[in-house]
Amino acid sequence: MHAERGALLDVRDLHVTFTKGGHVVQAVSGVSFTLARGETLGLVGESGCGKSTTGRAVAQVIRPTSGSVRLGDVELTAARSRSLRRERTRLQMIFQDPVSSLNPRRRVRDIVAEPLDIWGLAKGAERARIVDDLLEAVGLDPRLAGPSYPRQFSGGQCQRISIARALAMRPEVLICDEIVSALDVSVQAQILNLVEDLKASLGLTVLFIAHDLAVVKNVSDRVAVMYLGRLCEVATAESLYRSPRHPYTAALLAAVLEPDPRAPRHHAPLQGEPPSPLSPPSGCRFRTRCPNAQARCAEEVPELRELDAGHKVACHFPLERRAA
Amino acid sequence: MSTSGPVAGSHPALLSVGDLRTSFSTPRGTLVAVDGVSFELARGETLGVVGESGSGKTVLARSILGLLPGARTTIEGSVRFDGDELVGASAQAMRAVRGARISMVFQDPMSSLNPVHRVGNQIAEALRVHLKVSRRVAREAAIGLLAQVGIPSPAERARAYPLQLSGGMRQRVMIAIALACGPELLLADEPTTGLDVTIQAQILDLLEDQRRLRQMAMILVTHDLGVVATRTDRVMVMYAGRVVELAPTARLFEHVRMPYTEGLLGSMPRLDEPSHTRLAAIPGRPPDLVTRPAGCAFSPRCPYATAQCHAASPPLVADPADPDHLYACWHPIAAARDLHAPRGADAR
Amino acid sequence: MPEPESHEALDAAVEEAPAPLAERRDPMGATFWVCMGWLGLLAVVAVFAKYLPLQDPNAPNYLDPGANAGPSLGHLLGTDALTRDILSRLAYGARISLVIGIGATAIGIGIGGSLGMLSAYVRGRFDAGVSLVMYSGLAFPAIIAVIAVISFWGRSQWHVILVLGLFSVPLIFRLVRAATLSCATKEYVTAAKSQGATALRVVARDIFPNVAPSLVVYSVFTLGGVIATEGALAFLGFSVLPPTPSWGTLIYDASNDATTNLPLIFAPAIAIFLTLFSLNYVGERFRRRYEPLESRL
Repeated sequence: MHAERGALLDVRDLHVTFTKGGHVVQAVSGVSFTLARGETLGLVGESGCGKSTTGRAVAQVIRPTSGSVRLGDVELTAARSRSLRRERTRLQMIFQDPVSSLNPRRRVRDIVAEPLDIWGLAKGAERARIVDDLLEAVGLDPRLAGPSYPRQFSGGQCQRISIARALAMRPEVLICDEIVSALDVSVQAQILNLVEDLKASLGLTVLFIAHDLAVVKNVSDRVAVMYLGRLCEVATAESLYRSPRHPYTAALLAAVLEPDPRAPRHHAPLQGEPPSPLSPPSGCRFRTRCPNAQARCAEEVPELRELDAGHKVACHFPLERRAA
Repeated sequence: MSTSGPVAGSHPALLSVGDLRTSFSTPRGTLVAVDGVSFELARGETLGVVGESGSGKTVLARSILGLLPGARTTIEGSVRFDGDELVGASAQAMRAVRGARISMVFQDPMSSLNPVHRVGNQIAEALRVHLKVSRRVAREAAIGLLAQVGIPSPAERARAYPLQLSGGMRQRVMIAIALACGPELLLADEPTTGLDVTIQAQILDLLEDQRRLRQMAMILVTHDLGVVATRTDRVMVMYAGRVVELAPTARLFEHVRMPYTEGLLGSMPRLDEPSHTRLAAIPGRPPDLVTRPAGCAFSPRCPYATAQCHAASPPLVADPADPDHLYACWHPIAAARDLHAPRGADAR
Repeated sequence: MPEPESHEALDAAVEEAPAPLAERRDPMGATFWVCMGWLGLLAVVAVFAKYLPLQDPNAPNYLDPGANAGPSLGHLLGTDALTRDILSRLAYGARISLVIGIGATAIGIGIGGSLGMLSAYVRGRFDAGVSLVMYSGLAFPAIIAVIAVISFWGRSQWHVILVLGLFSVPLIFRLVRAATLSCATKEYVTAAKSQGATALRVVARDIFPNVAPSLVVYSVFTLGGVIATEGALAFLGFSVLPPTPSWGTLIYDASNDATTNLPLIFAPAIAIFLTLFSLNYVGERFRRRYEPLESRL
């Protein structure tokens, strides 16, 4: 898939390194992907894999240590503070914790109108109208919700408010960082449907970060799997789930507990724990838990290469393709 | 498909809960968290308790063990464990039961483990409190337990502090503490929530293996229907403090009767569905447990609700065709589901 | 914006109303209002002392009723060794104590509070540097330093205010910095930044309103502390110059004269005690009401 040419978001060789009291943590080590306009890319992985850090680095909330993040034709990593302030608003983030995402001392209508106020985009009646439209678009009654405070709302409703706020500036890209993980199953479904509806009606491009594979599959066109700071596999949702080529992806899929009593029970497909990001294994980082690991895996870092159309894998000994 | 079922032979039930009611007095009024729950658990059986937040599942587990802060809590009803009544039992009697005969594993191991004590000592303490063994014996037994729960280099790890261990390891330590004195019943309250998917599978396998080895009964409390589907004998669905459906696991999934359970299953995204399948979300949210309107608690959100549903609360009754399957609904769903049929309505 | 198709989830959610704001709150309690009453009385006396029917605090009454006279109709608390009316000295002393207290607290909160917020927001080397200075300041034995400064600089009301104010900065800095840190890591701050808000706007709109309740509470506690410290200073002879009365000076007079003039000994001590108790109690009630608000969300 030559998405590079028409890509709205082009991330190349992104590195994010933290130093914590002398220890160096490579949270993100050379991640590259593209997002075409109107596409949803799911970024999935377990805790500590660096997916949230990637999302924040793309949104420039954390400054990347190195690498390039190109939005349209603007290189975000090179932008300096004033132009960065302006360009950043084209990418908006929604976070995991619905409650800490909203300032408890401000009314909902002011929270949602904040971007308009910062940039002086609308005042008075126009501003109120935009806020009302946004609240309605996310399924809240503007007359009741507007003057209220965040503490009067449930988790799901708070996420709706966060979504309304994110949309106030008509961003091009929406980065959702585990937005449904803290919600009950029935509320999750409501929010996922909402995001899908808004994406369709507003023509958004979405980077959807989550650890739940079924949730990611439901909303994504393409999916990228991360492990310990690197991408393992990138493919369309369908081909990733039907025929995973990377052993880690296969193990992840096998570990998912489906609500189906007739599903075959395997014993845990993956033993052991992920290695510490302070000292990741040499070569392929997954090799310590991989059933197929061989000598080459310790010596050479596998690069992400395209096996079939649009299906990229970073593995020296990828799995066989499963028949459709 | 599922676990080794209840131990054969008509022993009386190990745990018999009768009309348990737990309420808290709050500034806004009385909050009834568990409202008349009754069920039985046979020896060696695994019961899954499923519900979302506010369903009362955690309060239920804690009420069985009497682990709720006392001042504003009222527990009524009966909890009979192997013939002994636990509700209203003396503090001494409860202490003898907790940890030794009924153990609990909690959701967040970081806040359940004392951060300033080494994990080996925490396990050893559980042993010494109940079994009155010497320090050395307890320490060695602790190392043995760590090995049983699958922690590598157990002798070394016993000297670690909780902060030095990963989430999965801490949960294993919690399980070791719970199993230390060989309980007959294990209450697991969301033991895998918050853990990675691959670690979840490991922990559930561990619980299953230990359960089978020790012939324990287990109550697995979770919000995740996927967790209960393949690892429980029976499933009990709770909503707003009441039991709304109780059935052997396979029957529950094959023939859902309660619209809430159907709604839960429908709102979960499935791996075998194409992307952008619209989820059948349940509208609205769970009710306020302080002001309980008359009628079925789920009726405001139920697509099949009638006037009867809003007026009166349905009792838990057995399906005439299948007495093991209980539900609380005026209009139970008649048709069995096909688990693998594509979801109704439009794919986007 | 084109209308999204109507779906069940959207329609139903529109009907859900937000919960009403909690109407019932724990009442503040009788003791709270008694304390507020005392503080209110103090404020009134301090501000309107001139208009109250009080004697001149420095005027001698040589003949009637003389020195160390017990309580009488004209002098409700009697007179001191220099035949001055104790009640009016107490009342004017309230004014001095409050002025010093509020002045020093204002300096402490103003400097400590803004530095604390700035430091916690900016982090990095600025934070490390300022924190180092502040922690050294905390470790410093403040009373001794204050005494030394006053000895060199001279006793005057403004000197006392300034010095006490500066020495209350480190503690307030530390408290405000902690409160700001817990705010600044919340995601609504990240959201504001990603919307292009300038640092100033973020601090003013998102951080300050959430730190403000803590600031109020710390102010109240600091006020109590300063009044107590001024009392100690005066007792040691390092506060305002005589004949200006402050409560500590009254105790100093009593101790110097070693008389058995009971009102002179007890009246200022009781006044200080009541004031400190009231401030601490009121501060504690405020803290309990406003801080759990955040965690209840």
